[in-house]
Amino acid sequence: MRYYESLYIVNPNYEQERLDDVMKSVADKSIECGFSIINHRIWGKKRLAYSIEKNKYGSYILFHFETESTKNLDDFERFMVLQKTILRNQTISLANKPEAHVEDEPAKNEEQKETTEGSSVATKTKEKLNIEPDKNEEQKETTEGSSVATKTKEKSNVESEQNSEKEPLIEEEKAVEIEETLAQNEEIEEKVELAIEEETTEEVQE
Amino acid sequence: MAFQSRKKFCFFKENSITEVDYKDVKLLKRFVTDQGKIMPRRITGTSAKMHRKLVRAIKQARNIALMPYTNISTEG
Repeated sequence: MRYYESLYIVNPNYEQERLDDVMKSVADKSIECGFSIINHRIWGKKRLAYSIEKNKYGSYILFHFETESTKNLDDFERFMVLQKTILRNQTISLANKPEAHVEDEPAKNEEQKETTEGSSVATKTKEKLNIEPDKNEEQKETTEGSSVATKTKEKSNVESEQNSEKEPLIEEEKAVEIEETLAQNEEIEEKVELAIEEETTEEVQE
Repeated sequence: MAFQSRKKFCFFKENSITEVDYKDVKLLKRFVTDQGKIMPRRITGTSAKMHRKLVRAIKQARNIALMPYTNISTEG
């Protein structure tokens, strides 16, 4: 058995009924071609990276199916291209069988995302809350010592706190990792810009 | 010093990702410049094997309008 994933874009202005009609026509055609449907669901209305037929948005529909023969794939592709209601389509072969659950999974995923986002925000706020009172305490101490020394103290205290926080909660680690990766990406972008500038200067010199 | 060499690492190896999905735009955007160009391997540090998969995924995402071919709109 071979597994395929077809993602196609339908005009975003269509109502649910017309969307269902399009989906039904695709499903009928796939059955006619001898495919067995695994998933067929609306992925969501998204902003297109570039306009297709003067549409800025598009409703994406995800369609998983399996076949044994590859004969009818061209036929299916041709059908998809000829449909005026479908702005664009792309069929890709999958290495593994896609998961069959359709309606339950997306809801769960969304919930998980929300929880993770919430936790990361919460952890950030926690860190802030933990850092702030200590600073106040140290500010009191600063009256006794020199300003430079206290700054270093603050830093070391904050770092130690963060380290201590990392140990008990794994979620915080993740959040910190994400932040680190983001920072690294920014640095990479900067590097790329530098590289591009160098290239342009070389070209000019030539 | 400003030009200290940073140790490169493969993002996918670090996070033990073996397959790249073209629908995961958030991940793919890491490996694309602001203009929408695919970053070279020498800068991102991805392994050759994963870079091939990554490039394929980015091109698939471009075809289905999830990612831009170019970002001209930002210039104008």
